Amino acid sequence: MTISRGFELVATVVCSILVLPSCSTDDTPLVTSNIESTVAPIDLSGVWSTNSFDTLDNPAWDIVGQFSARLTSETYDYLQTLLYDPANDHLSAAEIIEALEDHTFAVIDDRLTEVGHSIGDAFDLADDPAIQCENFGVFRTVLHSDPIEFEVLSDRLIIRGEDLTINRTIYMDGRSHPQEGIKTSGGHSIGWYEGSTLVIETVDVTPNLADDTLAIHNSDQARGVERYTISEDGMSMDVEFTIHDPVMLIEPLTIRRPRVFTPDVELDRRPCEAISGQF
Amino acid sequence: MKKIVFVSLFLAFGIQVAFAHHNFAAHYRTEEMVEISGVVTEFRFVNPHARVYVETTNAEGNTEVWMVEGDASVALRRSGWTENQLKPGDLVEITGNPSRSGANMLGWKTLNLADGTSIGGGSGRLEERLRILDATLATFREQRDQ
Repeated sequence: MTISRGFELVATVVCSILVLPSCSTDDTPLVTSNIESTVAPIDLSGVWSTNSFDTLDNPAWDIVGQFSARLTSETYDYLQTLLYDPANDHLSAAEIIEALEDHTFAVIDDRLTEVGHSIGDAFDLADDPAIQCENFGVFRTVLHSDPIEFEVLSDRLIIRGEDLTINRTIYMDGRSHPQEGIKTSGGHSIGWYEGSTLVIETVDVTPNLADDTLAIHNSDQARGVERYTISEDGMSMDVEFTIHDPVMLIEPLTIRRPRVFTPDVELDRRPCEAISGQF
Repeated sequence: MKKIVFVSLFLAFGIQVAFAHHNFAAHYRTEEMVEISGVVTEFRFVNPHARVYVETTNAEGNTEVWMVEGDASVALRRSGWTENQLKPGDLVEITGNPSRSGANMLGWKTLNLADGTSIGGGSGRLEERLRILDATLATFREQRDQ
């Protein structure tokens, strides 16, 4: 039995059936009632990149964006302090990045339930299914650092990525989630627009590793809400991903990761050929 | 030749997490750094990570082969790397994190050619990234205070 399979059983049985007090309750309702419009007020079409090394010189980055990589929303605020308070001017780039990582891990550590802690502690990165070239689940797909491409259709969005991410379909026709949806690694996603923000809600996911670098796992009770807000010039977007997971998290956790528009980038979907870490 | 090294650039060892494509801590001791030098026998430009095979000579005079794993090949390709970036016979010096298993493997951080040219390419491109970010930071602070 792999660790992920064991984790699936623990998460499902311990919290969904026994409902131990160590599992928090998430009373936040599904946000489908907030739907303002499924008609696109903005054009998301094209490829959007994170601050990977090859995009660092993109003029759409501000300094905050250049330092932003998988930061909690609280850490994102902390970054502003590190950059704009002259008292921190003795810090090098490496020291700022290190401070951000420490802060992010501290926020996450405080946010995890007992179950979240125990599953995180038991997980060995060497058991990451991606090492065997297995595809990511949807939450890890959202948080991954590679470029993504939006294809805007009349009734849905298609989001494609690279590496081991999954291709996603986001229904934009005003439908709700299924009443008794089948849980899959990709979940079920619907989207709508709130002003210039695209909002995507995903449910019906299977337990999975949500992010390897942040060591976050999600249960099958998890719900993800993505918010993509385009800048006025259309060249950058703020991306917030909030995980609501009463099994793993005491409160919802929001990760921010901005992207810039990179029309010259073509997605590279070469297959995974080698198992990482094996000679 | 293999030796334990201390590289000031990576005193903050933990920071390799943020920008990494996949987490190298799965296989490599990210708190340790060693250096090897030798001859490239093969360069494989594959997903998920580019890898270099290097023949070295250990302290006993015996030949060893090391596998050195770097950044995502897709990211390297976007930075202009090609399948011919390294060729058999190239002399290289590489610093990186040793494997957790004890096998002759490194998660590479810096890669220098025989003439001392650094070609980077390590996990998360930290070496190159920090050079850019430090310069950006200096400019930002200067302009912020005007």
